[in-house]
Amino acid sequence: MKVQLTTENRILIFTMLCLVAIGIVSMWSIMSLPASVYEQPLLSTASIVKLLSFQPIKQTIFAIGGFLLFILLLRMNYYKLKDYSFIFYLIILGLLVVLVGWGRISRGTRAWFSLGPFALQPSEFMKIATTLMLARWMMHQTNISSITGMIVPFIIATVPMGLVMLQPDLGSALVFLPMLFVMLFVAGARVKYLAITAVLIALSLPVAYFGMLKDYQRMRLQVFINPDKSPTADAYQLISSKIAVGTGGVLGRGLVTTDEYTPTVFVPERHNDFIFTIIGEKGGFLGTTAVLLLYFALFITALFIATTTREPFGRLIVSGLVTLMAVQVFINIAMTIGLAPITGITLPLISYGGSSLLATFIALALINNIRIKQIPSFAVRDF
Amino acid sequence: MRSPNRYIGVVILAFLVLIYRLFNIQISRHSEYEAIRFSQAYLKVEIPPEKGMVFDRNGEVLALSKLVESVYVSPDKLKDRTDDIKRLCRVLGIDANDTAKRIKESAENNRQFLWVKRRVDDDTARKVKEMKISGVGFKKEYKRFYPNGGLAGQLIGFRGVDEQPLGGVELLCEDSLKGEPGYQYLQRDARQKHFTPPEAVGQPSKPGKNVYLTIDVVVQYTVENALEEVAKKYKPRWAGGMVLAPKTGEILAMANVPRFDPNQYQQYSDEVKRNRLVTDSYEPGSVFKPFVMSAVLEQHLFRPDDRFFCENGSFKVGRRTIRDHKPLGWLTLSEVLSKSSNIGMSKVGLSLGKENIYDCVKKFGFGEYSGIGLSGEHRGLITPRSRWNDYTVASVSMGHEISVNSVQLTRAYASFANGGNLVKPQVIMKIAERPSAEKPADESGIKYFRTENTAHILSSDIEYQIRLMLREVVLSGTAASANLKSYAMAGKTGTAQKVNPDGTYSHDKYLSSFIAFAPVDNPEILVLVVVDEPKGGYYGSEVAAPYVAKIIGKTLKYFRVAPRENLSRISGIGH
Repeated sequence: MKVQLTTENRILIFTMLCLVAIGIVSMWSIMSLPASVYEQPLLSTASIVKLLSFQPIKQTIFAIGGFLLFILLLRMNYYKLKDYSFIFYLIILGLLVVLVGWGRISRGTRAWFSLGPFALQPSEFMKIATTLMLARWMMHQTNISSITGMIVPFIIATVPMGLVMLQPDLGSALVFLPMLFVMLFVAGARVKYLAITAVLIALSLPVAYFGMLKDYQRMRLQVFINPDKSPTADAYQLISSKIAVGTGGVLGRGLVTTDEYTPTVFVPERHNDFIFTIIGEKGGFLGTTAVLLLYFALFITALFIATTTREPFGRLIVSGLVTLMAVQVFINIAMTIGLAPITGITLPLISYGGSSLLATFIALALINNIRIKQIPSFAVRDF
Repeated sequence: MRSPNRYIGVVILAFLVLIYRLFNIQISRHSEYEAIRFSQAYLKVEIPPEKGMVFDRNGEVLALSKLVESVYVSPDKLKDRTDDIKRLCRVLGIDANDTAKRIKESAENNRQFLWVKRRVDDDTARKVKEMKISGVGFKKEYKRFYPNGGLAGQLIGFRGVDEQPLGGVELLCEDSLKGEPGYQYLQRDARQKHFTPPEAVGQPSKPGKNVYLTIDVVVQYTVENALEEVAKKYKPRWAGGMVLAPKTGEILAMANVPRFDPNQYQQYSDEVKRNRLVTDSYEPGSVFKPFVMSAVLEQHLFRPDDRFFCENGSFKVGRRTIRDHKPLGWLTLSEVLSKSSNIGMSKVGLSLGKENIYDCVKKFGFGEYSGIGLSGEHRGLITPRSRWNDYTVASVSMGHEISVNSVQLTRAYASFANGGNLVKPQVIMKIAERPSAEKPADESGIKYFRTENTAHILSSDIEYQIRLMLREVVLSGTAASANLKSYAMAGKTGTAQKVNPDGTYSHDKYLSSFIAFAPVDNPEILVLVVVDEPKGGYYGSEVAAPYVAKIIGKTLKYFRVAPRENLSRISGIGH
């Protein structure tokens, strides 16, 4: 079956590939192959293992693999996922339970399953599964405008959210909330109830701050509020990333700078959560706005697809997935320029990380698929 | 079902916030962050310049700077390794317990760096390096070396731990010697480790200029040897000697004994480190008489052959009694000087009057800085004009109640040997830029110090009469025993009683001196030897004069001045 791409599909695929490429180039620009690679004979097992563990190469492999998966997913019909949503949700939820219960702690959290040289991060896939599950539940829901109608969607979202929080990965956990709210809104929940719930959650924050947050999480908030007076690694990270972005100026310092030791050197995790600092430093204001515009084009196009899709399952999925991505993009960038506290949220498509990249490819494949299929709508109520 | 396009506004708003913030950080406040980046990524480190060298007038090296290793430790790494600290201290020759304590304290204060020993010699540095103790580091620093050891030590001066000048020429010429420090930027990585960037960023240091002294090491050596002999024989507290070229004011030698080796400056007391020819003033005694004599001649009060009765050794001025070293009867003015009669000089002085003597003292530059420029010069003391009485006149006429330093004295004497000019004594001959690749050595980089504005203070006929009187001192006067056969010299002895702490004159502590120039008809050098508190002899004629004669003989020979025998046969000068 030949896939018929629409203009929206082309825009989505173009922006997606641009962003992935920017991410990989950024990584290459700050890392060079470990010298030990050159000591091995070319194409020997040892050298290949070394090469494969080099992050930009790893990321490139993930990008190619992810893109193949993306193409594959374009050929199927998203609507069939309706029947599998619950299964997916349960399986990944199970993985999270195993992880939280018995997982090995790595970098402070139990977020990864170790699979040989790769690590699987179920929380990235949990977000998509939850979106599908919510869409599946709400597409036929008739009592969505009542308070009671909101109970099940809340449970669907907060159970995985709680598990992610227990990992602990507060940032990733909090992403579930805007997604839930937007999907409830699109599904037709009453704005009044949504507002009340939001206020209630906001009011419970102080309780959470003192009762549930770990010390390091509390510290991150303090650092965010007053970075100059907090002599911690987090404050250092925050200030350094701001400096790095600031030194970019209008045009940036260029990909290959003669001065090899540029300020991003001082930003820990710079290939990962803080990759935007590299773009800011090397690409300048021009580079950062270009990236922002690419994301903007991506989200607006996706929102356009959501609006034009008359089929509720598809519309809910697109709305949820766009929200997920947009919130992550916003929080991540805001964090690197001192507008948001430090959280472990990655920059979709750009940050290093196989799970995140694959999950984002899957999400975008779904959005594209929804645009391609354009299932005739049988909505319960009028749009 | 609602349309999610209502939510586009939120997305647009979010992006505008981000873009506004990015504009603010990357464009509005760019320079601010750029400055922070630079200070974060680089550490400015000063590169100390190589200090200029000090040479004698012929280019013999007196002081130079050489790179040597200084040893430091990282306190944190070493604090618990007592054995390693012990091994290190043994090689460095420092106290292990004390060092261990210092390391511990620094580690507690989170210091990353602690000097254990600065500027160690090459051999020790090599040994420490071979030990390969981790946490021990080396930094090259300049160390000042004085290859001639104690030769002219007090004149050259010395430098402290940080190469700061602490006296002598080192201090006098510091502006020229110090050079300009360069700087270098060290980069640091995220762990605050410093490393040298692949491309050198910064500016190299500029070495200091070279200073050439007027000193001649051969003459200096001659003087120091003579002083050592004095020291051996008379065990004085101090002996000083200097040689001056009377025509130019250039100081050819300036020596103090005991000697001072600036390489080991820590081992000497402050007293020995001082260049006492400059820093100490004293009552000169009889060597001062010729100045008063010149005023007498200038006023045409007496002629050299006028006679005075010297009271057979005891003369009352007011309530005080003046004595001669031996009873003397009738003497000519010339003999008053050559036989050094205190009574005769008092009478001459009294007839001259206090105004004239005061003016004379000032005219010869006493009470003023000599102009040599060395630090710590003592100007000497002159009784203020208003407080002069008869006794002051009598005392000053024989070199008491006035204090002078040796440089002033020598400089004033030079006017008897150069036609009546008061020269400016100088130790610096020239200061030369260090030749470099871009700028090879040429005359443009050299600054010469030539005698400037010498004041003419004595008419040449009076100068000539004084010169003859001083010649008489050596021929038939107090210094007759020191007369040289080879060169005709003229001079004056001095044997001054020192002042006790209670203000009375001591009867066993003397300051003996002799100052002389030669050859008398065309003086090339002027030599002073001062001996402070000699034991087993105290007359200047005995303690100082023979050594001055020795210095004159050797020095003039070294300068290839024709000896007198040849001349006298032809011209008949001298006796």
